[in-house]
Amino acid sequence: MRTHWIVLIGLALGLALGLYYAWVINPVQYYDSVPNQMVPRYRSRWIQMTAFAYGHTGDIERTRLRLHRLPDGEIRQGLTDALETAVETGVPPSTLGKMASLAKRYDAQSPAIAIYTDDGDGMVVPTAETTMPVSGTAALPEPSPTATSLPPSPTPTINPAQFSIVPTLTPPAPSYVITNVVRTCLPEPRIAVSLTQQVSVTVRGESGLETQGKPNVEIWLLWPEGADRAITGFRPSQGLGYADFYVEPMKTYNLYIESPTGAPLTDLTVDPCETQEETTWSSWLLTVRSTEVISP
Amino acid sequence: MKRWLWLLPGLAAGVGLGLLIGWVIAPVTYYDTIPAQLHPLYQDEYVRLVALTYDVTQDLDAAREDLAALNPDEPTGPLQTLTERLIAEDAPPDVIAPLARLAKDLGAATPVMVPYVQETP
Repeated sequence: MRTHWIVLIGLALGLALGLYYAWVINPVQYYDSVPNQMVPRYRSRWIQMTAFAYGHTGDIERTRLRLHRLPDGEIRQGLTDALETAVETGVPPSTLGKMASLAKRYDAQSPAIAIYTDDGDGMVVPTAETTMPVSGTAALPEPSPTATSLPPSPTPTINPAQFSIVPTLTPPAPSYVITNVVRTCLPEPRIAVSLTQQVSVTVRGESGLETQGKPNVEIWLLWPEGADRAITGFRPSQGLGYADFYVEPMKTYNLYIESPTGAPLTDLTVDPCETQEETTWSSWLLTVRSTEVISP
Repeated sequence: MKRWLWLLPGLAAGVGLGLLIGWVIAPVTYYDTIPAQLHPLYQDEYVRLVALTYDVTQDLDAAREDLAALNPDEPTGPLQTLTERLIAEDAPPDVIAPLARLAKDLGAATPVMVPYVQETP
């Protein structure tokens, strides 16, 4: 055998031995890893905790460092998830506002971000200072098919002088109907809406309609001193079309779907329940169906 | 027979090349690490994040689980260590307080943390 072949055999054997030692027996140890090297589950948690921390401290520089070199898509998803968790767990609006702003800064998009972002185009806080203009039908007990300015309601609890009459000349056709109303009595009254839509389905050649929850739709409550809104679908355990509000006793609320303009879908009064055990108030669960049928 | 001695320099060069590739050029890379393998500075940051998150969510089970990812045997160990170190370093109270509050709620507060967990009137 020629000499250079022997050298080459030695080289190959040595290379194999060297790689085996370096990759298997004694590999480089990474004990000083950085967040973007963690498994996806922990990366996601790191991003979510960073969002909560920013909601707490508002320290953007430290937040940037914490998110440095993490994939953009994961950051957006993590910030969105954190905000939705925060909404579900009842985190204060000021913290939600910061978290939403952070998510927006990283180009994340979701209904919660649109609502809670604190740059002035989103969150609506129901305070006396945030009185919303409402249509002239706001105080009427029954929905009106038009939004023509009508005389104020004689209901003594609502002062007509508090309303800004904004007539809507071309109100959209009603696209939602109430299919069921459940009244219960609770110590802390709530108004809940379960929004549904019908989807045409074909099973074994036969077509039919299937009712499904309708997510990502704005539900508005307006009352003389203010307004509040919620987005359906933020409590998936309650259904994709579910949204609810805590409301105050002895007030009348006008319910709108999608937009707080035109005639309200209905109005609901939180009056006292006639029980002797404890003070409870009317709570309402409305099932509302979209008249539009969705084709797959 | 003498000719086979040429195997040795080939072998030595091969081992050297293998080590160069295995340790320097293409070392084993760990992209699926866990919080316990983070650099110590990031581990401190991780503990701070857990504490700040707990301050917002008040979810003690989640905080306990997050800390266990750092030290499964003694989840509160890194929390205690960092909090006591920051107190010793005279860090700002707003940095220490969330850590101390979490330590207290996990039953892991030590005497030096007490001033930081007292309720504000």
